[in-house]
Amino acid sequence: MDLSAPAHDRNPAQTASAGDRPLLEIIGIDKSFGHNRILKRCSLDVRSKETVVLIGPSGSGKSTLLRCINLLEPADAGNVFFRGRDITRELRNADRIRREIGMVFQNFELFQHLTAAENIMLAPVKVLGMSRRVPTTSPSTCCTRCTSRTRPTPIRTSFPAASSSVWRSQGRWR
Amino acid sequence: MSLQLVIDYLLSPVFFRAAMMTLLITVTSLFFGILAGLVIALLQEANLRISRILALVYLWLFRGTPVLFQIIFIYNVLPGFGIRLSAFTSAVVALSLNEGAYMAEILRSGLGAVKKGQRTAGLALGLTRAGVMRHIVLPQALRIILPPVGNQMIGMLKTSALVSVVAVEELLLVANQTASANFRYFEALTAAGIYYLILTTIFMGAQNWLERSLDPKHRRRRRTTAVERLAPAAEAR
Repeated sequence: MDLSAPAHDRNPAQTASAGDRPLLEIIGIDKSFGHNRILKRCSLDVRSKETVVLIGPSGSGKSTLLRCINLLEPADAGNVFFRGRDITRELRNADRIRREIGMVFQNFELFQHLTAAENIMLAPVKVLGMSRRVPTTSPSTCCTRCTSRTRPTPIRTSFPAASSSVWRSQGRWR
Repeated sequence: MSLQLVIDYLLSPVFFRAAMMTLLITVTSLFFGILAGLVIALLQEANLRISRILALVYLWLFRGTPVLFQIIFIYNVLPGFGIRLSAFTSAVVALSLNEGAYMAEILRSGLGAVKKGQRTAGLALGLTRAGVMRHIVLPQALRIILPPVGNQMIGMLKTSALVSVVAVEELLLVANQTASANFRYFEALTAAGIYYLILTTIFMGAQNWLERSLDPKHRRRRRTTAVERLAPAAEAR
């Protein structure tokens, strides 16, 4: 993947106002697996509330770029700034940085031993230490948000394997 | 052949105490064996060369020699080096160390069966490596390893008979001693056999209960009350 085109070409209006840095700045990162160079001096700016779509054939490095951002793969060279802070080499604090960066995997990687609700609540409860009873993290709230098309009936005991693709793609709870 | 004598032996405090001794040896050895196994399995998983070599040497030693040999070795050879253990302690140490080697391989198979993506997903949520192990890998591995661990539990119950060689007053030794006093082998050994079967049955029941309580589908039924509590909140919207 070669995203070396200057970032300001995409959105001149925003870059014009100097001082406020992008939420996420990627500056010339390299990543190789063995002799296979996946990312070649890749740069990208993402501003707050901006939606960026990466498109490319499989194996072109889309996932690798994402994994470099939240430090699942350390970049070989270059820098990643998140909220103005260089996080590229902060592998020791990776877990704290990842709390602020969400990621959904291609095959979802739902936890098979947990119910649908427990899957959603795992990060707020175990990572952020929230109470299970806080309304914003309660499964019924989450469920209502994600089931716009279906009647929100929170069957919080359903397991990923039991409902397979329906559960995953529509966020349904039965 | 006297059925009455079998019943007398079954109800006698001597046999009961011996059966309890067998149970105690089995349970403590299993406990420390699982602990040792967990340590060895994690050493093997670690990214350190030295820890993997250490684990390998352990497995080689304790799977490579007979349990009976290990029991006798610890009881008879260690005192020569100034380590004097009671017969019971020697027996538990030997059985635990031996069990640890087999348990490590079972645990390793369970840890390996949890897909790599599940760990990555846990890390991406912001869990630490230890958190991923505790909340994601171990619960899933536990379900996978339960049948082989059940095998080991029942195996240990029967292996514990070997410690009679260092004169721990367990079931087989007591039965044999009782019989050699009056040559009523059939009655004494039948009583011991019945005790073994009772203990094995308890272990099988425990395994069955554990398997069901870790099975997601079964957990689902137990939690229906939680669903009913939550349902009205969503209906209102």
